[in-house]
Amino acid sequence: MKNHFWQGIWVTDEEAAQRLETLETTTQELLQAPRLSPATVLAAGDALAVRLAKPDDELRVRLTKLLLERGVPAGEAARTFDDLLRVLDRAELERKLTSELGGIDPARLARGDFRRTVFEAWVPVGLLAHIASGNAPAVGALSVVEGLLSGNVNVVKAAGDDSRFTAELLAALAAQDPTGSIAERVIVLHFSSSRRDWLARMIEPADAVAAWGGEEALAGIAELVRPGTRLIDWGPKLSFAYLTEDVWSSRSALRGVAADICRLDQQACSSPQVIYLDTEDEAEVFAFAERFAPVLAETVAAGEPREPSLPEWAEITNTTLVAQLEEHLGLTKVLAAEDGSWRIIADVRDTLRASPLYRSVWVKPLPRKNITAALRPMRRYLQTAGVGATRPDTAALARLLVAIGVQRVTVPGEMLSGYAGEPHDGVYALQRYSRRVDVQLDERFAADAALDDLGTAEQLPVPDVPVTPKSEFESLQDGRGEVFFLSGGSTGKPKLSAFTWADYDEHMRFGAESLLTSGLDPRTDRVMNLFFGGRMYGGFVSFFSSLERLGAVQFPMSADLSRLDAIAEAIVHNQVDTLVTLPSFTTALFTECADLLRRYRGVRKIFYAGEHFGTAQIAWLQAEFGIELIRSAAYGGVDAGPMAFQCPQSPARVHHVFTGLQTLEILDGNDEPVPAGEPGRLVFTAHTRRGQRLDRYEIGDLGRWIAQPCGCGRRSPRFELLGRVGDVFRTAFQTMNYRRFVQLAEQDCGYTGALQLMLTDVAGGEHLTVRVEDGTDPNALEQALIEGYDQLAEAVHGTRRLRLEVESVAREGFVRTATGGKVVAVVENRAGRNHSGSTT
Amino acid sequence: MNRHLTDPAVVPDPVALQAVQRFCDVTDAYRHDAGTDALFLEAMNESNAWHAARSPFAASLLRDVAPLESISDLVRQPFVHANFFKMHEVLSVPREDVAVHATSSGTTGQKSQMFWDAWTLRAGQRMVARIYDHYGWIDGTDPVHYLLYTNQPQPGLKLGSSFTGQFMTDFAPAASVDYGLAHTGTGHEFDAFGAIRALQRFAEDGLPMRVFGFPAFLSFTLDRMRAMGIGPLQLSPQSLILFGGGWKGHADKQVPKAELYRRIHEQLGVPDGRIRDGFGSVEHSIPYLECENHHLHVPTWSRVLVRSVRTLAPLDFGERGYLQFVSPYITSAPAQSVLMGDLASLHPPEECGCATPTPWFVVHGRAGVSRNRSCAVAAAELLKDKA
Repeated sequence: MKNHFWQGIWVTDEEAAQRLETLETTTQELLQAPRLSPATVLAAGDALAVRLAKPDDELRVRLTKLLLERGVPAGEAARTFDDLLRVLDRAELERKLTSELGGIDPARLARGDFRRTVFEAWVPVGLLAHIASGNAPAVGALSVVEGLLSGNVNVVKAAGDDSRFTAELLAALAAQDPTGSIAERVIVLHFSSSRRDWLARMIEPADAVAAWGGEEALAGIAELVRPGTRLIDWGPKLSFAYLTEDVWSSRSALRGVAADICRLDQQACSSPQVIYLDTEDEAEVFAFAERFAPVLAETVAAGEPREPSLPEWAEITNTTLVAQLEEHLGLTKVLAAEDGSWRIIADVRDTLRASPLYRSVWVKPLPRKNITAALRPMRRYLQTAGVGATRPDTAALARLLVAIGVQRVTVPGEMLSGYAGEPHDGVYALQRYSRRVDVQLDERFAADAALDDLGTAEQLPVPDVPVTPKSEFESLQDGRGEVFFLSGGSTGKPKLSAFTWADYDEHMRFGAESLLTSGLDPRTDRVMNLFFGGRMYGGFVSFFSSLERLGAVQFPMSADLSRLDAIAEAIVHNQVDTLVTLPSFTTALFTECADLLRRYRGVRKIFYAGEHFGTAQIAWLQAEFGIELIRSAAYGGVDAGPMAFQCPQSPARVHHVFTGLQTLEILDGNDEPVPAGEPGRLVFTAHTRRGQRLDRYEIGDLGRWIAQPCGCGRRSPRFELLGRVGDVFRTAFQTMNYRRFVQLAEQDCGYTGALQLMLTDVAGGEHLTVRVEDGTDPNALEQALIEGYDQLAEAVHGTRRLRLEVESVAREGFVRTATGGKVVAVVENRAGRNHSGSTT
Repeated sequence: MNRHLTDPAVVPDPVALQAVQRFCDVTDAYRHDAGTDALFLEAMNESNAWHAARSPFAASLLRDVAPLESISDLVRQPFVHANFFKMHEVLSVPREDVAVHATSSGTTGQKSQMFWDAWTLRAGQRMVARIYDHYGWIDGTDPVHYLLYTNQPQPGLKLGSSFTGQFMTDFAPAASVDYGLAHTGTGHEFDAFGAIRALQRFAEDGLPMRVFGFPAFLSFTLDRMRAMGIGPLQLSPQSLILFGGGWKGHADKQVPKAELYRRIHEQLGVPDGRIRDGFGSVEHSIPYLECENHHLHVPTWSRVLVRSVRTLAPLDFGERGYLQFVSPYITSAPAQSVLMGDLASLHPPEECGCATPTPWFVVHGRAGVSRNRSCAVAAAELLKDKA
């Protein structure tokens, strides 16, 4: 019988035994293979959850059958799926990764401090062995999910009576991953603990061993673990309520404790098993039990208490009987339901006792001065304390309880509640499954944000969904936004882009990396932030945040066209040598304040975003003002966040993809990938976006792949931007590109200002107005356009369907977007077409 | 005759306990009939009165309990859970009358304990001797080799099982005595090499061997022999292997009984009928020994009930529940009726097939959970930590 799941295939006992011999070599091979990205695991988990959520899905039906086969009651089986769905939830897993390992790609060898060439990462321990116990069916599989999230190779010993549930579940998870990387890293073996040789062989090559079970089982495992191998022991735990005099008569507190006792039939490690009272008075203990009994009875009656199994009943009877015998010694008083559905054992001794569960609770005296002496010896079992007390007492007791070994403190009624990213039994599991490593390098790496780009930088696969065009951006807003920025500057219709703070944080981190890579040196540069701020614009605040993450010197001035002189003076006064800003604002600033800035000649670097920076403008700034470096801060947008960056070797418009964050596809009209070098539409998948999912989102730009490796050494894919999708328009039977107009104006007329095309219907054809800034010679430009652009010449002079006009207007005369103030590239005024266009 | 059969055995108070004396003087090992039933009831009533008069706990427990009048009244007899004795020292005799404070490491990790006065100790040993006699295991002439899987003795040792081990060498002259759990100076350690050497020696000189003690260690010895390529050995077919104490502490390595017996037969040559398991406890030290069909029959001096783990109601033959032992012989502590923490079923004598005329029981493991289904710590684990 093929009972074992070995790297994607089912094998027999004999085969598994043979393969166990190869566990170390298998691990060695995988450790030198490309690492497993958490994004792959998140996507697979998400896809698996979709199937498990449907009660009639074939997989769920099959897994349920396996649970029932191993004797799990139907109700608990259903609850197991609820637990799985909660844990596999993508947002939940992302939060877990972020809170435990600081980000969603923790194994990336990235800069912590951008001013030092030190790279740190949470890397997998290597081979992680999981020894699951029989008591909680999903525990083995969930531990493997954590092992995969942290990038490990996982070998699991499922309990002998597991009936393949763990293996089938993990096989299903692996099946959701088209890359096969998950399957490669999962081995599930079914055998009884008495097969010590198998246990020894799976533990021998392991770097860490995560083990569940009772004390005896854990001790048996510990014997097999080599010195230096990490043993992560998830031993059994016990929780209790602690009530002071101020609260122990409060009905709501008692109801809270009763609810905690009843939830999950008291099976959780956070379920209270003892109620301690802050008293030395035995009479108070017995009186409390009498007060509590009707409250507990009421709560039990309102629920659906589960019937214990025969051994569980025996455990209850054992405890109750002994306590009843101790009544003869004056030590106890047992209050129990006639039907056996609950029992309270009041006991004058303060010793921590485990309850036989199923709504059985001890009530004991423990004055706070004795807490340490009574509970510290039990510290390895202590988990949750539900404290019912006044505010000052609660604070003091919380401090004391965590000091003596309690891991969680809650209030009565909330003992079983948790929150995303909560530590488990005093640790973050993912950190225990990982190692924190550092690589300290030299000046050659000053501009490298992460080492991974220099190695393999494969793109992650995209989900199997259709491409969403830019116009459908709003249809993607199904996430949970926490911070919103105005988007849709291109179409002019204001709409919002939603981010969670985690998205924002991640994007700012990549923004910072992009600035570093592009040439901003946080050790020396004095940077002025000259983006527009306020009014829900993303520019100013996001660069503020990126510079903060870089640790760079920042002067958060913000752009203001009415205060150009003051801004220039501040640049000079503060010895600013680097600007982050919009191209159009740069031009305005250096034009209006040319004298001052020319004298200063202190601005050395400009990092821009939001618009295209014309090559002629760049040349002018370099020649006139001595600016050494003018480079795109990042290829990004408020829709999709940072998508790509420029390295120092990148020619204008050529970018590297942020492979950890995004996958880029360049597609033709049929949504098929274009061959390298051919132009196509850029389609991005943002793998981690939480505020709204962006799966295969068409960003609205055109581009082509650059196949040649980059001189900077980074292996991440490169592409060249070829303008906006809206830059291409049809008129008079010709297809034309706005970019060509700009290029000709620059090249042949040395024109570097704003350029806008406006299309209008006229009798007998269409009218194309080319608008340029005042001071340009319209005739010379018209001449240059007709001479340089064959399609235009054909439309104007050949078919004569198009009338061309060049007009010069004041800077404020251009049609601009409502939200970003950007100049619209192509203004569509023809009837029957939407009045949209693209920005420059 | 063996001295354990013949030495005097006298109750502490021949007047107050005259029925107990007479009941324990019945020499047949397995006799439950109208005569012994009547004597048993009379002795139980005496025993209840004895303990109630001497132990405040027993007095409180037995208050308002009417005397037992027929064997069917036995279900009314109050009982004490064995776990209670693990936590409390309750005595019915002055402390200075305690001859032995017997302790035993329990399966759940908690130590069991019981206090025996001279009579209780003596009466118990006499029962063992009578059962030996019943099976024909008392031999005053031919020497045997002993291999005791119990702790090698050391002054001051209180573990009940070791005490039992030494006593076991009294029923046949000792050619030699070896211990499987050698004394190390500071503690005890399983000595596989010593045990194997002893077995090899026994096989060579051909004298019968008698093995007593924990089955786990003989099982480990067989494992080691196999691993080292030793054997099979051919020991005298007159050899006798008596187990006791169960697999405590080694439950994870437990081998099913039938498989163990088969391996013993294969590797040592001892016939299946000469391998017997025993069941007993410190709290209730009546010996229950397997018959040749490997069933634990109830001896003359005790009665066994099985009770529902949920309601504690007495159960019929064949049903699984708590094992309750009742015997009036103990005078030192109110343990005349003990509810064991074991799950068992009781069966009528005729279902066995051997000629023994008393019921027998099968132990189905511990009544309770050693580990909760949840991640919550189980009671047993917590108690172990304190022990």
